Parts: sequence; structure tokens; C-alpha cells
Amino acid sequence: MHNGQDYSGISTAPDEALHVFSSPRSTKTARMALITILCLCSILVAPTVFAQECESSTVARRLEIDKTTVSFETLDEKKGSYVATLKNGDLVMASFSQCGLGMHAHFYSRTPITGEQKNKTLRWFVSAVLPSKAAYAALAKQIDAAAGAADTKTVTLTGANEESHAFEFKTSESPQFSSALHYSWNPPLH
Amino acid sequence: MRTHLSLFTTLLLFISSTSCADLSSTDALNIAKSRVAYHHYDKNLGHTYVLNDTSVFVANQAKDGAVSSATLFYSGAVEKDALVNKMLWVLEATNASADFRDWAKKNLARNRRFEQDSFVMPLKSFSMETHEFTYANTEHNQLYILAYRRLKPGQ
Repeated sequence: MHNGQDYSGISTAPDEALHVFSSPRSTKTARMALITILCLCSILVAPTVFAQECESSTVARRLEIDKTTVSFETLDEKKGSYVATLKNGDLVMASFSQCGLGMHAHFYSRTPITGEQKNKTLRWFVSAVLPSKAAYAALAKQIDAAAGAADTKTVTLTGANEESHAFEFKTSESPQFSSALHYSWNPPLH
Repeated sequence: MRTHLSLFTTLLLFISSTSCADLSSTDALNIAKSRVAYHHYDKNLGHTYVLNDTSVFVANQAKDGAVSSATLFYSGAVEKDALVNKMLWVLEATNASADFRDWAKKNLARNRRFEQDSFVMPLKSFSMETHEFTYANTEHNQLYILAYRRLKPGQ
């Protein structure tokens, strides 16, 4: 009792505290408490550490697809993913890196993309994927040159800011679709 | 009078047959409505579902209305358990028989093909139906494709 108040159960005097930590049982309890505090601290600090690893992320956005051809589109900004189903049954998907810079887009066509259609599809898809008409204009010459060469191998174009744009035509892995066009945007390395 | 009656009967038959066909096509898939952001059915292209987690599920049906093939496009998960769960979900969504689903729940995870990055996994049910899963990574930022085919005995 101090000043008429009840402090029972709370160690107040230094000698009492010494007594508490001197017995083996108490030492064990103190060690456990210390470990618990350390664990709690690491849990509290962890999100900050991980957040530092993901300082940059790519802003997710809807692709520039002619709205009259779209039957449904959705954008999950948190997850960084976008999906559009087209009226002819084709499918467009995109994912924007949420930990770093980068973007991947995929076009799945119900009908085979062959010959001249490849050029047309590539131009259409790259213009839909790029954020602006200016960005497309900067790459237009390279796209025209690359479209003819785009067969089964990956073609990489380099933009004005040294960013790279890679695309590849493939046979669809899904039986519901015939052809696939994969695109990726990678930021400059420095 | 007879001509009118026969015309009326033909009309009734036509309406009933088309409405039944519609029922078989739209009721074929077993997907909780709460998970679906968008669904579209096309006579030629089959079903297209966009799920709330932005994964896409497309499915085709045979003439009898049963699902013959389907594909799930999704991103993110590469762990075996997650993949097994997606395969079980596909079986449920496509109305695979209950006994096969029970078998899959107990045994699917033990399959050795899960050790590979991509695989074709044909499984035979007790009724000799073939359930074939093809798993592939597009090698483009974690877009995974799980394709499924169901073949009747002798197909």
C-alpha cells in the first residue's frame, strides 16, 4: 500500500524487481516476455520492410479497346489486373506489376491469326496496350517492320526511353481459342 | 382446320424444343453466382465467365449439354495445393460425376505430374470417362492456363 492506494500485484520498488528476476522461474518468464516483445516488434516492422521492397508499382488501367467491340471489361486496381471479353468471343487480359514496373497483356483469338491478319492484329493490340497515341506513334515504324517478321519467335522493340516492348504470336494453349498474342512492357534497366 | 392444328402443334414443339435447349445450355455449369462478375452464353462459342478475382473460365458443351472442354485462365498461384483446388473447382463447375469428384478430392494431390512445371494429366473415372487436365504456364508474368477435356468411353 502506498499513499492509500492498492498496488498489489505490481512491482514498484527496485529491490522487489530484483527479487522477481533473481529466481530461475522468473528468469524464464522474463526471457519469454523478451522473446514475445521481439516477435511483436518483427511483426510490426515486417510490413514496412516489405513495403520498401515494393516502392514502385505500375498503375493499372483499362486498355484502349474500341468500346463497341467490348461486351464486358473489368479492372482490379489493387491486384493490377484487367480483363475484357469481346463481342466476337475473343479475350484480352492484362496484368500490371504491383511490385515494380512492368506490364503483360494477352490476346486470345477464337479464329486462327495467320498471314496478313498478324500485322493487323499486332497493330491493333499494341495500340490498345500502349497508354497513348503518341507512344504508339513513336513505335509505329518499328511495329511495321517487326509485324512481318513476327512468326513464332519473340520480337522485341525498343522505345524512346529505352523501355522494351516484346510480343509473340503462339498457338493457343486453350482448346477454346486458336491463337494467342502475348505482349510485355519492360522498363529501362537503369 | 387440320392445317391450323398441325401448324399450331409444330409451333408448340418448336418453342418447347428451343426452350429446353436453352435450359440445358445455361444450367450446365455449376458456378456460384456470388463468384461471377460476368457470364455470357453463345450457341457456337459456349460459356464465358469472368470471375470476381478476374480469372476467366470458358467452356464448351457437347450436343447432350454436358461439358466437353473448358479452360481456366488465372494468375498468381503456382503452389500445388492451389492448383489441386482449382482442378477440383473445374470438376465441380463442369458437373463431373459425384463419385469422380470424391475420388479426385482424396487422390488428385498424390499424382506425380504435379512435380512438373507443365503437364497433361489424363484420369479415368469408374464409368470409363476420361478427364484430361492440361496445365501450362504461358511464361508471361504468371498467367496460368488450366485446360480440361472430358471424353466419353470410346472417344
